[in-house]
Amino acid sequence: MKIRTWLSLSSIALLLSLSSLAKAEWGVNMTEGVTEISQSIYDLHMLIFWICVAIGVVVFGVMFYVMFKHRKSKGAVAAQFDESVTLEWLWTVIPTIILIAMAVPATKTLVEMYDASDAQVDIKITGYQWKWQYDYLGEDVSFFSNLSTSRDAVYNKEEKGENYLLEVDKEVVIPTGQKVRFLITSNDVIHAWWVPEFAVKKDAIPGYVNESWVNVPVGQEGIYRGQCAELCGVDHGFMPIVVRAVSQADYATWLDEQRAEKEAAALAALGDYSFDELMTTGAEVYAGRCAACHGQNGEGMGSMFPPMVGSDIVLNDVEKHIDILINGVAGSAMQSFAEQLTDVEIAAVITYERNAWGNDTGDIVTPRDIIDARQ
Amino acid sequence: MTRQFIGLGLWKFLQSVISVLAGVQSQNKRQQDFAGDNLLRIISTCLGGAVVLILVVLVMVNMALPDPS
Ligand code: HEC
Ligand SMILES: [Cu+2]
Repeated sequence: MKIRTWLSLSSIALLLSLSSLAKAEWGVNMTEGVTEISQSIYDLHMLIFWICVAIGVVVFGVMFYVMFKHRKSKGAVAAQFDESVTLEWLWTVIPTIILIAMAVPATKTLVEMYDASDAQVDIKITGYQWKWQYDYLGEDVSFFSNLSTSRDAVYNKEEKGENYLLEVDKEVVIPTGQKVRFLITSNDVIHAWWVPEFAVKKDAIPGYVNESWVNVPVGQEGIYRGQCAELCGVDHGFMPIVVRAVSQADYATWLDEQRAEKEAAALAALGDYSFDELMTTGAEVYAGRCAACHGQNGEGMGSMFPPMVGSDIVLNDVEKHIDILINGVAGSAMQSFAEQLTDVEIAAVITYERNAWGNDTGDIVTPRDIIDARQ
Repeated sequence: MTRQFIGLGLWKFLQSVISVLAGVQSQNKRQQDFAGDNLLRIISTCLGGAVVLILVVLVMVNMALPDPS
């Protein structure tokens, strides 16, 4: 009697906790995502989960029942047979049938996931330590997407925002209702491009191009966030992904804007800039693009990342300084910024480094110097 | 030797093949299969197992693949 009360109480508790699980607000379960593929992956996951639950309940149920029913205190005596072909067949055939029943729908979904053919938009995604580059193939649009969370927020000197470490300076924009193919590769080490709500997670491997695709349904316009999913160095957690899905009309407008911006930047490089203007822009560029490796105040970091304060190149060799920014240092984490920054930004950050933190060289490097150096 | 094996009949042979694949067999049958120095019988049972396995995989993959259209 007592045991029966206890059993029914605990099963009520179990049911209650299961039904609260079903409300999903708990956030432990995998996301359903927004695409057809992500939905079918979620459905598969739930199907297999419940199959496992059922198997667990039956197996442990029988086990505990048998242990209790044939307990020693009731005088049970162990059976001594050592072969039951029928039983052996049952526990071979039933799991095989269950496995096949799960494998068939799972393979169907897998095949669909891998079919990146007939895409309307092609985006090449390149992983860098520690940022992503997006190339809209055939559209003449290309840019880098950097973490925009400030270092002060990282070091608890500033309140952490809602999208802490999940925000970027430039989002990758895709149209809804179209099949968008991603060609994923890397410039240095292995990264992985992961957006949970698209159910897309693909390794970015240097010298190799992986394919994946997404088709965000019309009506699901919005912001989708993701992260690098392959440990890739100290700032692995600082290279998030932000995708903005927009209507096809907005997408076309956005593409035009990007081209116009590029032209405007080329024009801007021909303008004249005062020392103060360059220093202000330079400080921003430095904080956003360089501080992660060279320190917030140019102090460098460990033995890997040289300080800017007192550097021979920064103090005495303008040409080398410009060359390093445009071409990078081969074989090191110091990459080329030629494609990542505009002429104005490169000129500004060089001017800034040569005059900040007591590097009082008085040098001014202008955007025109950068244009010349690029040739 | 061969006559002895063929004498077993197709049904017995299939039973042995299925036992090879599933790893389930009664003591009696196991002793039959391994009785004497009947090497050919053991080898052909294993080969039969391999063929059935390949067929099963073929059928399963074709079930899972979408129709080419
Ligand atoms: C991913 C880390 C990283 C980032 C980001 C980075 N650098 Fe570097 N930088 C390095 C490394 C590593 C070296 C040392 C290269 C070598 O000589 O092996 C270096 C070297 C330099 C040097 C030469 C210093 C010397 O004394 O040899 C300059 C100048 C420089 N970086 C400027 C910048 C500027 C400006 C930015 C931002 C636009 C920047 N770096 C961003 C890693 C980085
Ligand atoms: Cu990475």
